[in-house]
Amino acid sequence: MPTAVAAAGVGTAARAGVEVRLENLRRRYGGVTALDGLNLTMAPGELVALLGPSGCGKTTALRLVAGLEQADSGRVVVAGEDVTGQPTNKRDVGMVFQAYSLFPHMTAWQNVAFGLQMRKVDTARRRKRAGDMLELVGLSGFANRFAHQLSGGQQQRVALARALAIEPKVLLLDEPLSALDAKVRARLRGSPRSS
Amino acid sequence: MSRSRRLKLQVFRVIVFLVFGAFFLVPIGAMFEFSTRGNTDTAPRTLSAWQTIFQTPDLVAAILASLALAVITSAGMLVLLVPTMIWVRLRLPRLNRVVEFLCLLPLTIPAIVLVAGLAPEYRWLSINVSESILTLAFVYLVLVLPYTYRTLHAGLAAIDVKTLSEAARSLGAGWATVMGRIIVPNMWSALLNAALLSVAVVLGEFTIANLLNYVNLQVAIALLGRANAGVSIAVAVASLMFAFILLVILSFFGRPRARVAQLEADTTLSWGQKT
Ligand SMILES: Nc1ncnc2c1ncn2[C@@H]1O[C@H](COP(=O)(O)OP(=O)(O)OP(=O)(O)O)[C@@H](O)[C@H]1O
Ligand SMILES: [Mg+2]
Repeated sequence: MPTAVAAAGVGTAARAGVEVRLENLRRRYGGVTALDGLNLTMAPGELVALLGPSGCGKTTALRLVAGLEQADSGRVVVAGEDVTGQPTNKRDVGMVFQAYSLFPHMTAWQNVAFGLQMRKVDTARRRKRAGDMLELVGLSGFANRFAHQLSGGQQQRVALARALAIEPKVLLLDEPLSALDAKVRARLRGSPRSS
Repeated sequence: MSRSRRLKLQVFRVIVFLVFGAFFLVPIGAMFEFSTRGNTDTAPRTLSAWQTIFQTPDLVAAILASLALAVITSAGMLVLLVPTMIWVRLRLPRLNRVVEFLCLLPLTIPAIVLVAGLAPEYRWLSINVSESILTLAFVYLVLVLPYTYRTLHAGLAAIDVKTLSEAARSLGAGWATVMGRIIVPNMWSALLNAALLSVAVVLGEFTIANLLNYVNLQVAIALLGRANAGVSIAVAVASLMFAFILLVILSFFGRPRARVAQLEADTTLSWGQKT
């Protein structure tokens, strides 16, 4: 019956990891209730998968944590701080989307380096880190490719590298592996933790 | 496809091309021929009409004014319309219809009605602000909205604006960065098309300028036509050629971006290998 997986990974090796608490989140779209009072506490460093049939509200929950959507009621607390009203770009939440989301005018490594550029990391370190991340997802040889020159699975791997590169407090993966083959999937499952 | 069918198609193409080529070139050729005639039937060909263009200060001024208006209008249109349309698409989708309606409205209002409404504004403007012909840029900005709106709309529809901006924002980009670094670079050809369309509209505009008593390129051509037909035709040919060149540029940049991206990929690749 459960058909889809979304995972909320918390904490990366570079940081200690933080607690994420969803308190009584409620979200309706017109007549559809996507979330009806979701309560969930994720311990620092914990990796949580949300399972459920299509349309049950997994994406909605992740979007609320990322700040891409506002809850009708309830709170999102990250590391003890209420971030419910904070805009996405201040939240330090990495996200890999269900839809393809690479910036089409940038190469793979430029995509991965974008978040670091937003954080004012200097060029040399940006380059190095983007290279490391691409290596992690097994795409070192594809650094200068554009999204339209990559397969669907490769694009999602670059998107994963891009989200990992900024070492976010919270990492949200919305079915990022659904396009990947089993071998690559097995290899990638370890990467959110080991980076 | 069989050989004979392909051949037929080829012949058909050539015929269409020739018919349309003649349709466009014959009048222009005739105009050029007319503009190089001498004063009498037996006089040799002369380019004096073309030379007179540059010796007629009023005409040169009108040409420069129209060019300046074209630049100001396209720049103003981009600055006004691009952020508005992106913003509406991302944050206020409910206003989409309203913006579309407002932008298409000028198409449905005849120029003469526009002028009737604008005449008092322009009287006020010329007394209190400036008499310069460049104030026409305000009307022209309104005039180009329908064409540019359509173009920019198509450009925006071709990219997944929502997902791209959400991805950029989750990576720490503010709204200005999202617009300037993520969305605009992915709609270059739409921006260019919109700008060139406004240039074409402005360079061809006659009615409003004439009715508001400003001498822009087309008005100057019309005025000159009465005094010196040869020169007025020469200017008309020149402005047609100018528009033609712009359109060629447009079609060059309007080609699928994949090939442009491929070129870029090849250049960055060689550069990337060094490091
Ligand atoms: N922008 C929206 N407008 C209206 N309804 C929406 C919107 N986004 C989501 N919904 C509805 O909310 C419900 C939950 O959607 P959500 O995307 O969270 O599902 P999901 O669990 O991620 O499904 P899937 O596994 O198919 O991705 C669905 O019924 C969906 O139709
Ligand atoms: Mg989903």
